[in-house]
Amino acid sequence: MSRRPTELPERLLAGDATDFERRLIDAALEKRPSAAASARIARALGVTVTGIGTAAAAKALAATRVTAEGSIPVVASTSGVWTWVSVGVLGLGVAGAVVSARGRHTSRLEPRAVLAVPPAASTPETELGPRTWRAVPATTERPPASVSSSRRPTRRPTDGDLRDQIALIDSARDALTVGSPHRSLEILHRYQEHYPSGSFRPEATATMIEALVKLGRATDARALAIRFVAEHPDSLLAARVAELVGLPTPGSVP
Amino acid sequence: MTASTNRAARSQVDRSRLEQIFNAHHAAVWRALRRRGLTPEAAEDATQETFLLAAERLEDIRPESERAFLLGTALRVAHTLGRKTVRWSLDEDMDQRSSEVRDTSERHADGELCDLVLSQIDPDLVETFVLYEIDGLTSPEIAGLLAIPLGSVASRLRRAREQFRSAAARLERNLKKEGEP
Repeated sequence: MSRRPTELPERLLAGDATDFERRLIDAALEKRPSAAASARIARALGVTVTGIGTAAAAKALAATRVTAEGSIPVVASTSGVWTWVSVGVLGLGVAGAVVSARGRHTSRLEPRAVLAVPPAASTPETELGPRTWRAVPATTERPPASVSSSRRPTRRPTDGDLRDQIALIDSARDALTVGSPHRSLEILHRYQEHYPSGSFRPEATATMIEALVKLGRATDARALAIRFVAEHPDSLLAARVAELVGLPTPGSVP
Repeated sequence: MTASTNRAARSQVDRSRLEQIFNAHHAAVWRALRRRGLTPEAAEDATQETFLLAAERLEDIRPESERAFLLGTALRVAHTLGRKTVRWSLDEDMDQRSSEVRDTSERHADGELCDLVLSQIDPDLVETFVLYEIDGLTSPEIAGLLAIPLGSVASRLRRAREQFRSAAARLERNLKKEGEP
């Protein structure tokens, strides 16, 4: 049957694309802004980013953490893979701020009014599931007034550090996930060496304990875990760490 | 219900919808802007601008046309910024370029390779190809967005596809010669 001149052929991906063509188009579809960029844009719009991906979202949220009042990056454990979720009020923290964010927008583009959004609720939304680990970075900085990318002429040095820290922690976790605890430990040692006062020390230590357990170094893991639980009794990580080495869960009735 | 309550409820609905379309389409919008030659930073600003414009016109955007509306807006924003699609002159140095992009991570390299191939397509045709094959727009949507007849969409796509396949085949041969997978 002949095709009408205005009728389009089947899309390549759905049709007869070669493997190589498919690979190219797939790669094009995977291109996206960095998670941090997505988070910045979302925040400026007063919406919450979802579906960027777990670690990517974590990086984004953590990178913007310093700018979102009341926002805390959180780590959740699911089947051994740590999934980062947002507890912050990324949306709510800026809810009602679309207008104001727009007003403060200093992009090269001409500012305009945008839809009105009611003021932020005072209670933050949470996306915490069961067994959620909290990662509370050691530093807390006040957010800038706006998040327009062009309003970041001088990036704070800690942003790069934070990203690097998150990347290291992510790499360490990834190494654990693919069964390379040695590699994980190596990365974590590097983290501790570079960031002795790093924002994610608790996560680093918890990951290290898990790596040690996987390496069969139970005594080392237990010693580290005992110290960790003592230092961070209220941390959600403490429960996980205690469980890993068979310590009583912090806060549980003996 | 008071008028202010109504307004607040309405605003909440608008914000939910904006959030939904942002999460569904912002990557495609950003890609479209990058393809127009914007730097990552400029694309970030332009993506924000695109969604701000969308926020102003949420009521006018039909749910089935969100993607087309956003991409059209993004292209106009890019146009406003006065940028032209970046095209590499690769006819002579594709071998060298393909080696260079393979040096980076695999996935990123594939993306670069795709750009390489797209850059081989005639500038008048590549937009149609991308909107159809990558962004998934329909023929009427592309026709509306580019302000061209449906017949032109079909013919541009046909020619663009020929060029894409030819460039992809050539690149694949080059990569095989270099011993790449």
